[in-house]
Parts: sequence; structure tokens; C-alpha cells
Amino acid sequence: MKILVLGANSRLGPYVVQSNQERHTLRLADVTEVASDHHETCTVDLGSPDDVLAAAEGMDAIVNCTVERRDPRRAFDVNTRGCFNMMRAAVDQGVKRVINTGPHFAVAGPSYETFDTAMNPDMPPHPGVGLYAHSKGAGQEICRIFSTQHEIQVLMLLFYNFRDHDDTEPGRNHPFAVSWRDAGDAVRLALEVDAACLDSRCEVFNIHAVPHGTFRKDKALRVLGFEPQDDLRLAWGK
Amino acid sequence: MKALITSAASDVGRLLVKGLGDAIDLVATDLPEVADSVGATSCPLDADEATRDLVTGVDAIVHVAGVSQASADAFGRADNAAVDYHSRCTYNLLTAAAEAGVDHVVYLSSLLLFADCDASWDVTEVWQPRPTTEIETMRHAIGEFTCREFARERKIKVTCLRIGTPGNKEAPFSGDRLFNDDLVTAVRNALDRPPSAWAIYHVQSDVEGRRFNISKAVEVGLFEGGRS
Repeated sequence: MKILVLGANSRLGPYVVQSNQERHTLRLADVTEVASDHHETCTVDLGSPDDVLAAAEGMDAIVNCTVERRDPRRAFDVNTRGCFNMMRAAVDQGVKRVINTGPHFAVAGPSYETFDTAMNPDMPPHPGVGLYAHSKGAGQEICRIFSTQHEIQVLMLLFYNFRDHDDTEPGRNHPFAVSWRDAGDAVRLALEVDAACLDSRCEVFNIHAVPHGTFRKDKALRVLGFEPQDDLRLAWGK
Repeated sequence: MKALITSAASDVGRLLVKGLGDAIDLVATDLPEVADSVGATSCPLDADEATRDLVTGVDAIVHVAGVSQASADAFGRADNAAVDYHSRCTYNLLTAAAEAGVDHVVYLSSLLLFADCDASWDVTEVWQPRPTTEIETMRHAIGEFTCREFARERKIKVTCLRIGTPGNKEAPFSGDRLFNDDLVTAVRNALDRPPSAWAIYHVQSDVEGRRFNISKAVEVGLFEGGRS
């Protein structure tokens, strides 16, 4: 499969590359110059429709690892309008699968998280009005709308807290944690899952490796076959 | 009541400024490319002091939320301009309004969100919108998404009016026609009836062959439906 990785220089990007490079042909893109001896690279500003359209040419799938958390203009340029340009490019270039990544609160914002447990990824999204959550939630809504109108499979992977797989620091008892390399593997599984296993053209998954039960993870196992390899017991056990 | 009206240079904006001006103390605003053409306050609705100044002292906002061709040209592409306006600019406007203590926003959405529904269906406010990816439709889905989160978190009260196609009584037939005087009446009455948090109404005139169910709007007194 030919895969465009947007946000290749993000924290998650290198783990997506690591998990997919032996099985797929990758084109690595970022708003900053991407250094790679093994893969095609390009510079892409997600706010530029022309940039994204050119980067998506000839691709079978797109993985979106881009993120902007703080700048009030760039957050919407990247997280919201960037999703619009990505999906528009996917339609125009015949891309059939998009993996969009984002924070848990693109779905489970304060009105859920403050009150609930057993939160599943198929809840109606309530991102709230925080800049990061809201702009990412709007981007995901745009992806969903495109999936209802076009033959594009959108898989949204939600993350929250990342740890290095060899992190031995105890504590940080986080209810939605996963290792970086398991996160990369989750993206690979989302790229490779048979479309016949998916209930709709837009499916959302909680990706974590902890037992708290605050956020349900059974859908990721059942549909994607995601079984984290890294034991984060040091983070949540006594 | 003092109300801010956005996109004042648009056709709907001009109509509302003219129709509401006698009853309400209006402040008109629009994006810099067109604001001067109607003597409105120019504001790009960025996350800055200019937007905060715009909403200071205002009781309510009528968010017409239309992007002129000139503003779209200045942005570079009409679809990106619309996405930006209905997400970022709307977010900035409502953030500033909530912080300034503005009580109520009337957001003008569109019945285009249901254009794909079968004409035989009795579509009411409890139906799920079915936006297409045509930007003229999708922009309203994005705008509603933004406004709804502010209402859900009780930052500001929002009335969402999904309006039909505005026009006068001589305009060509349209199943979702909304006569101009009905639009003005509905907005004026919506301003007088802020919801506890969030309310949606479908607003079109009661023309022959009317496409959408308007009983909720009529029952709460937003307008009489326009059949004379």
C-alpha cells in the first residue's frame, strides 16, 4: 500500500513510520523539512489545499499525525481546515482510506470526562470549547461528513497519554496511556483492517493499554486486533 | 436590547439591519474586505482585542455567518474561507462573547442540511442533519458544531435558526422559501426568547408545497408561518 504520512515530524510520526515501513511504501510529509534516507519526502502545509492535493497523488491511504495545540489560528488551520483539505484531496486523488489521529477529548470532552466512566469511542462527540479539543473535534466531524458522501474509509484513533516503552518511572496512573510504539502499531492495524470488518465508513477507536475502565478499549481489540505489547504496569500498579 | 449583527454586508445581513434597526440598538460588523461598503465595523474575528471590543456591552448576537466573495477571494479559496469562518472565526466570536457576558447568540444555519432527505419525509428539528460536502451546506454543519459546544458547556445561550431560502414574495418558487419579512420576524422574536442553553428551530414560510415542518417555530411564536 502507498501511504502518505502527514505530520511525519510529529512525536507520533516516527513510530508510524517504524511500524509500517517494512510492509508499505511511505511518503513522509510535514510542514517542516523531513529527513529520511529511505522514504520519499515532501513539505506540506495542511492549510494549503494545493500542497495537500499534490502530496496525496498516487496514494492508497493517508495517515494524519498533525497537531497544533496552542496557537489560536494554527490550531484551526491544521486541526480543522487541515482535515477539510486532507479529505478534499482524498476525494480528488481517489484515496480510499484515511487514518485520522487526535486526542481523546475530541470525543470525550469535559461534559463526559468530568462525570463518566466506561466511555466508548462511539459516543456522540462532545469536545467542548477548549482550543485543542474543539478544533480537533471539528476536524473529525468534517472527516465524518466526507465519509458519508464518498467511498472513503475514515478510522479515527484517539490517544491521550503516551509513554516510552522502556520508561521505568513508576506512578502517573493515567486512565488512557499507551506506549509510542504500540500507538504506531495501532495505526498499522487501522491501515490494514479489512473494510468488511467495519460497521460504517467512519469508525472511532480508543487506543490505550491500561485497565482502568474509564475509557473502553474493547472495540480496538475486537475490530482492529489491537493488543498492546508494552506492559505499562509500572504506571498504574502498586 | 443592544445586538451585534455579523456579515452585515451580506444580503441577509442587510435585510436584518434594515428590518431590526427600529426595534433594536444594532451594531453591524463584517470582515474587512466588505465592512466599509455598508458602514459596518470592520473586524476579522481573530482571537484578539478587536473581537473582544466588538462584543463588549452587547446583550445578544445575530450571527448571520456569511462570507462575501471579496473576503473569500482575499482568503484564496471560497471553501477554505467558509471552513475558517464557521470554525475559527465563530469560535473566536463566541469565546469573546462568553467572556464579555453576552447572554445569547442567534445563529443562522440552513435547511440545506436536509436537502438530501426525501421530500416525502416530515423532517423536524429532531432529525439528524445530513450535510453534503458541498461547502454551501457543510459550512452550516461546522457552524452548528461550534455553537453547540458553547451552549452545551453553558458558556452562552444559542438559538439555532435553520432557515430556508430567503426571498420576497415575487421570487421564483422554492419548496424551502422563506419570505424576507418572516425571516426578520423570526430573528426578532428569537432575540426575545433566549433558550435555557440551546434550541433549534426550522424556519421557512408556509408556502404551497412547503418542504419542512415549521410547527415548533410557530408554536413558540417565532413567526406565524407567513401564509396570508
